Amino acid sequence: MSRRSDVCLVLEGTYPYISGGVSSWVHQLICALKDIRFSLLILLPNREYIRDMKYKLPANVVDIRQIFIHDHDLGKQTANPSRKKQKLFNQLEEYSKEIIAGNTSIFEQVQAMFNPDNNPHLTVTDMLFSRPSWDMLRNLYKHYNLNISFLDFFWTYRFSLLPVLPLFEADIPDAEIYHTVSTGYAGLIAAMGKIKNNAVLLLTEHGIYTKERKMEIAQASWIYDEQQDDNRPQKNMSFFKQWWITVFNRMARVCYEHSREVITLYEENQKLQIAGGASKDSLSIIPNGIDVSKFAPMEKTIEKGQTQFTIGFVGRVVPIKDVKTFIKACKIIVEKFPQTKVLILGPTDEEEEYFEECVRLCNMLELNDNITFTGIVPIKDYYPQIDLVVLTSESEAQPLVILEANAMGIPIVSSDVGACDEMLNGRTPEDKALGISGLITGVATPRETAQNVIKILSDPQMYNSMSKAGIKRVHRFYNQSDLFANYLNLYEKYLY
Amino acid sequence: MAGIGFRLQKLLKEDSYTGLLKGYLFSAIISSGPMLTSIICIALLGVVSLTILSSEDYLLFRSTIVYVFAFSLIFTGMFQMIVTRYLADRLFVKEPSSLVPCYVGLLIITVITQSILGGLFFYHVVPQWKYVMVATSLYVTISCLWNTMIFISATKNYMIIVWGFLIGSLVSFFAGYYMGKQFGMIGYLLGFEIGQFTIFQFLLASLLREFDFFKPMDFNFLRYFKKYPELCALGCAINLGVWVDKFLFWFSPYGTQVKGFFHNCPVYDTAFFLAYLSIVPSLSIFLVQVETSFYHKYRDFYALIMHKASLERIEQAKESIIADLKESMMALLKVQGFISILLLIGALKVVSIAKLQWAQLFIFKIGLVSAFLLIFFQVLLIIMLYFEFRKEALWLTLLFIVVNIVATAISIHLGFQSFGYGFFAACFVCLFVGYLVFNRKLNNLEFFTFVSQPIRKVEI
Repeated sequence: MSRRSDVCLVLEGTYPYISGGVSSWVHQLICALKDIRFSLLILLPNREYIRDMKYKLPANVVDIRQIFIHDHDLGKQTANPSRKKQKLFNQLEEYSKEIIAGNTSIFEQVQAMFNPDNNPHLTVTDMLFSRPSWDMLRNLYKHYNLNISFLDFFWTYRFSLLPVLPLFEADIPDAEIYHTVSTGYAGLIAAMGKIKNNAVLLLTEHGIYTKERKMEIAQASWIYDEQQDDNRPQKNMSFFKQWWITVFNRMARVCYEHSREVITLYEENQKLQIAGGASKDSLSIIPNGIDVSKFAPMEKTIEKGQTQFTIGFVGRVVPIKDVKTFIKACKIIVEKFPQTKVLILGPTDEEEEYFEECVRLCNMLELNDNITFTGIVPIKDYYPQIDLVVLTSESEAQPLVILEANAMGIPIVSSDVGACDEMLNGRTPEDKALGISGLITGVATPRETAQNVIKILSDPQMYNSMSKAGIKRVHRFYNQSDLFANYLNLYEKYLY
Repeated sequence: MAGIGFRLQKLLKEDSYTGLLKGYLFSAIISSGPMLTSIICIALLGVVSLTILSSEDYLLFRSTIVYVFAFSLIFTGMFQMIVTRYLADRLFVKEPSSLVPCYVGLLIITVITQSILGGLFFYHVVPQWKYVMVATSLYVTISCLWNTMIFISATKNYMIIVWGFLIGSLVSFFAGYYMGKQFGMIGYLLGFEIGQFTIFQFLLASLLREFDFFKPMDFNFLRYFKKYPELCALGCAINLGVWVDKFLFWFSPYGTQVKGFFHNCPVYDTAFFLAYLSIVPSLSIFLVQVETSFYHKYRDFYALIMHKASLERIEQAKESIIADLKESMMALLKVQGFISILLLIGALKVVSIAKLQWAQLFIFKIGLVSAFLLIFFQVLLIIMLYFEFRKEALWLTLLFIVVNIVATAISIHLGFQSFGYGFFAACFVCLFVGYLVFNRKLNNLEFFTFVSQPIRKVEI
């Protein structure tokens, strides 16, 4: 298994054990680039996460290594570091201050301190149980003039380091290119691999890891919040929440700074990447594509004066998709076109309470004859009968439903989230020249949504041009095989 | 250790002078009650029996009691620390109802094992069933009494305990006196035993009366042998440490064989027993100090950590512990120093009052100095246990045993002028080493408290 690889894909908690958007993208990438030898470096919380693989590994995966970042049962230990090591700790204390201040450029020196090939080097035990580590911690606490719970300070120190320390000692596969699919721990170890082997680091971010972590931390109840007794809304997050956010931000910064290419799906993410430390020259966009051969285009038309339409909503019935706004919009549409059929295509059992609320809303607005909740269905079979697709999500990245619907010639009305705007209006001048393939609305605006739907459905010329533009755009800019070819080009650029 | 002596704290909360006095008296009894009353009883019985008993019988009487004390302490020592810890933990989680079942469980184990051990041993020495019965029952009673002392500081009925010791001691003396007149050596022993048994019954009754219990017995504390094996070794080693030099003397050329395995060396051990009495007042002062002032500071330190205090406040609390310990040590130094110096000056007088031989004067003097050091060493061990430095305490105690054996053997070899220096060396070396170890540990208390916390797997 362990042959030298061209590209080491670094994956945190996704492929091949957990299915999802990123995992299927990874699988398709590997399958598409058959001539590239991939190794996988997989970061998982602990051993219990090893389950049956959700994907059959392609033959061009030549090596798999796993690292368990929360699998530590160190118990009680003692450490008596040598004099030389104590000097390292003094240096580390200075480096820590730099990193806290936001200067991550010294990361290479820090990595060298922990490199097991160097003598002396710092070990997990040194960092968690030794006297110099305690002194360092104490000095930092005093340096920043803190007055915060020391118990939490101590344990947050330990828990921040515990997942990171094993990365320094990990056996990273040899590769020419390290390609990580997120920042975070994966991004950090990918940067380590790059530094160690003098290789090239590529980063592809679907969602922005630090942003997702930040939202998670803001809501976390396990982090001690010194303000919790104060019921007034807080401007700033508590000290320890900020600590955790800083940890993820600094790890991301190391990854951004070492990445030759920082790729994401759509423009909006790039602002966050720049703020996170990525240099402008390294940025580029490679959107997700679809297999266009599976979505046969049929240029669609509507008749002038037609009053019977089928509108589709493709997505899970959950709050983040804001189904209620869609239902309210339907009320206005139905007033204009009473015979409209509405299909809500997607699972209804994920948040049953929300689903029931949606059903009640339909009753209240007397839309039961118009709206149908289909549950999980093969959506591809439904596209041919749908005249228009609507998205009202509060948050999206780069929704595939837009590509699928557009590919088949269905115009779209979508809320202005994630990449939706550039997918309907075009991103580059060349793309924009193709024309619009749908209309954008604000988030949670039922009236605007309904007006846009009515606008498209009452104007056959506009409808037809949107249908054509959508088909062209997807074929031209979102063809999966073209997009993976971009990656192949990138790989080849740095491999030889 | 925390938990034992809570009652004492409550008593002293009144902070009135009478309250304090009561507390000191009570702690004197707890810390040294059995030893104190016994030595006084034996001394008195010794004085009155001399005229009646042959010197051979007197020596047998005396040796029996000395052996009973030495071996009951060593064997019950194995349980002492373990049970103390178990009890403290139970009281800490507010489970006083588990006190009596644990006590009964401990007594059952003690009675069974000590009866067998004692019976076999005494039969080996004097194969007369009367003697074996009496000596064994004394051995078992004293063992039970040591165990009872562990539980007694949780009680509220101080007066019953004081009365128990007073009445029991009187019974020991008078029963011993009258029965001794009638039945000779066996009579003295039986009388003494009846008195000790009376004390035991008083304490037993007061514990049973005061504490609720829902089951008759409980052997749960045995789990602690696995959890804290070093406490078992420590309890045993502490007692072995202070007796091992006596054993060496008994079986040295200076010792004499009383009968069978019974050896003694009155020149050495009587002088030392007498010297030990000098530390009784200090022990009681220390007990009160620990249970009140020190314990609060100690508790504050850990409470601050758990209540999310800043590092600065934690460090202040540590400094406050150190300051308090220094103060306690200075107080102890003054009181014990005063007593010891007074006794050193008046040593000649003491020796003549106690009817010791002229030759024992010198051993008594070195015994006084040793006892002075010993009390500090024992205080050090107890404080170390408070901070859970169990391993260090055990190593120190083992060091004590080793130094005591080696130095005593050398002193025996060197001859009469150096008698007692073995024990003195053990006290001195261990106090010195112990101070260095503890000082380092205490100055780094936050470090050890935090960094010794284990890292376990986190369930996600």
